Amino acid sequence: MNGPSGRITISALVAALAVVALAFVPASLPAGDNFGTSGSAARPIGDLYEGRLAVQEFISSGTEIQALTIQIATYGRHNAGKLYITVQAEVDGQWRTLAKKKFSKRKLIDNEFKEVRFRPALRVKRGQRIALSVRSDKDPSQAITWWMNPEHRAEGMRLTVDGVEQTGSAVFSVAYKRIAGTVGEIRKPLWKRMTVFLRPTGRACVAIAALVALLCFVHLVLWGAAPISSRELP
Amino acid sequence: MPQRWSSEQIRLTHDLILVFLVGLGVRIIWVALIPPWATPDEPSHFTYVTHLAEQGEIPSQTEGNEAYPEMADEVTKSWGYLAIDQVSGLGAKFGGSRAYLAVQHDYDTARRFKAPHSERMTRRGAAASGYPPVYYAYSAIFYSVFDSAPLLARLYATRASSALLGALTCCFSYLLAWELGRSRAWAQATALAMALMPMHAFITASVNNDAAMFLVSTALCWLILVCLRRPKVTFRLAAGLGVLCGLILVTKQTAGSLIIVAAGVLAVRAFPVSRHPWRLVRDRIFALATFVASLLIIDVPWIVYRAASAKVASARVTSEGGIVINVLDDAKYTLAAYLEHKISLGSDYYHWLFMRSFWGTFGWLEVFMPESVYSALGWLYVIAAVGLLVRLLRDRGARAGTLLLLGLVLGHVLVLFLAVDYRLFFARYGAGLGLQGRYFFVTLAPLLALIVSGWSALFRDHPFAVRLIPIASLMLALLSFSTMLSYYYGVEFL
Repeated sequence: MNGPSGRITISALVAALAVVALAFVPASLPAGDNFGTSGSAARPIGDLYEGRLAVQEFISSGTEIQALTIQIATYGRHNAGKLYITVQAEVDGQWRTLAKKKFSKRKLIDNEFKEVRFRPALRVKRGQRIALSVRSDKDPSQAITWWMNPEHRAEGMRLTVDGVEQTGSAVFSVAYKRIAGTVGEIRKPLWKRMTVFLRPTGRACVAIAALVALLCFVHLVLWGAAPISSRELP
Repeated sequence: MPQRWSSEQIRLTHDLILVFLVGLGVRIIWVALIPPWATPDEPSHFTYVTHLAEQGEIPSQTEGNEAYPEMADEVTKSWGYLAIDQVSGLGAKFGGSRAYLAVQHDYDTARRFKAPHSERMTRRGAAASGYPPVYYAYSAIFYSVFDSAPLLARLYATRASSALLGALTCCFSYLLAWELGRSRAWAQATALAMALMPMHAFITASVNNDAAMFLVSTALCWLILVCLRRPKVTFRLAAGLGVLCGLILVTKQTAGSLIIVAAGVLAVRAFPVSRHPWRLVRDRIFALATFVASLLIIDVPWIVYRAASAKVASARVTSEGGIVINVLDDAKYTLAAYLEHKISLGSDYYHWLFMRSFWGTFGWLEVFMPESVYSALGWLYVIAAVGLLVRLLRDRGARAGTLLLLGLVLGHVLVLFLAVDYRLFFARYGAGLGLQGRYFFVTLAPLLALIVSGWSALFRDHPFAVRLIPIASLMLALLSFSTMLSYYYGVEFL
């Protein structure tokens, strides 16, 4: 085992072990395009109180919505009543409710980014139209508001207040559930994502280059180098 | 009958091959990981390569052919197909934010996209037009092999040409460390540290003439050390030094300070020691003449070409690679003002320059590793410095080589600040060049060799201590891969 072929075999085994160990490392990758509008140039959408409804529509780019976040404002008050958030998906021209959440307005923090998580994640289709509705109860003295960005326009997005279309978008973000597991479990979508710009030949070249580099590195580190004796110095 | 190789030569060759393969493999990974156009000035450098390959001419220094755009239509069209502008510094969209490259996107069209030759024409070499053509001519060969392939294939092939140069640079760093310490362990540690060093791998995996400059300057640093250490300096060594110095002037002049060092070391080294004074003087003159002749053989064609193509009547060509006359003209700002300005920048600037920008700032200089990494690397400098002091005090045999390498590193830092940042930019315009960490990579191999030497000295040259360096380098490389994957692809580990 001390000959060159024995050393190469041991190096190959150690390199293989390293690859196997890598397979147990937890990893995750995105399954949809998390999206968010920025708050720059933002202004309030208007008072939201009993009878008023703000709806932000967007097109889903993933299949499982894990969280939605909206930026709300309380006018510096501790308001009474509830904040209602509804998520609907358009199916055959009809809106189907996927989730309803309510929050105490008294516990809201002014200008906070209020995150709404869904367990389990909301199942939607890529390209499906989604509607995020925000409304509040009680009279105008207990109103809250939702920040919007009048300069942000994106395809498929539509903001309405009481059915009247607004220019721009609400300040909100969408987080899709990620594909998660160990590297070994999610190796196919992980490899595809990491080499998204490569064609099959390119992917093969990268894989071979990486494995050869690993093998050579392990060989150099394992078998090292004996110091040269002074008799051998020129 | 060919001379039989000694066992040590066989082992060194074996090491060099392995180091080359590690360096190349790591850089191929970077070639794939870096999204298209997501490295500093890559579109411009690629434009130069394209201009050479498609139009068969060195880009003009002046206006160029105004019938064509500054950057090829094929390249600018590709940005839309790639959706990279929504993430990278090429142009993040206002009002919207994309955390990483789109998941929902037609990448197949991007992978297959290629434009006809008419859309690959360019006016000249974009912002890279001022550079000498050697690197670009070399890369154009790789481009041409994939001439009928999609744009991305040509881009990756051109990147691979840089990766080859980067891998060869690691081999010369091995030779330099070997020359310093005569230890394969040191040489392996230095070479693997360079092979895995994130910023070096990142730059030499992109289309950038720095890849050629790093190779030539590292080889020159090695030969300078050889010239200093060997008892006998041959004509072949003098010629080799001359050729490498010449190559520096036709790749990128940032490493120009090494030419002065090379000439100086050659001038003071004894040629075949002779009792006859005239023979000693004659041999030194011949050595210097060989050096100069070798340099001129490489440079004269480029100097003549630039002189013939320069339109300015005063024959003053200020961009790199040309004839520079009267460079001392029009200095409006003093050195004192410059030093005051540099002091006012504070420690944050120097932390960015010597830590973040040096060890790893990716993309268009907007992607950073965790701050704790840079802090840890800062301690590495301190530990290595203490170790070097121990080395200098204890190891008399290593003093000359260590001091030379230290001189190279510090000298290059001074040249960049005083000659380039101050004299060429601040003195004229009141603002510096905008130094970046990679500009110091001309003497990266000497620096890494010194770090290895210092670290080893602290552990009394115990072989196990030196083996920790490649392991640490691998950890750093993996962290840099993870940073890139997280920023551009949204992939998270642990």
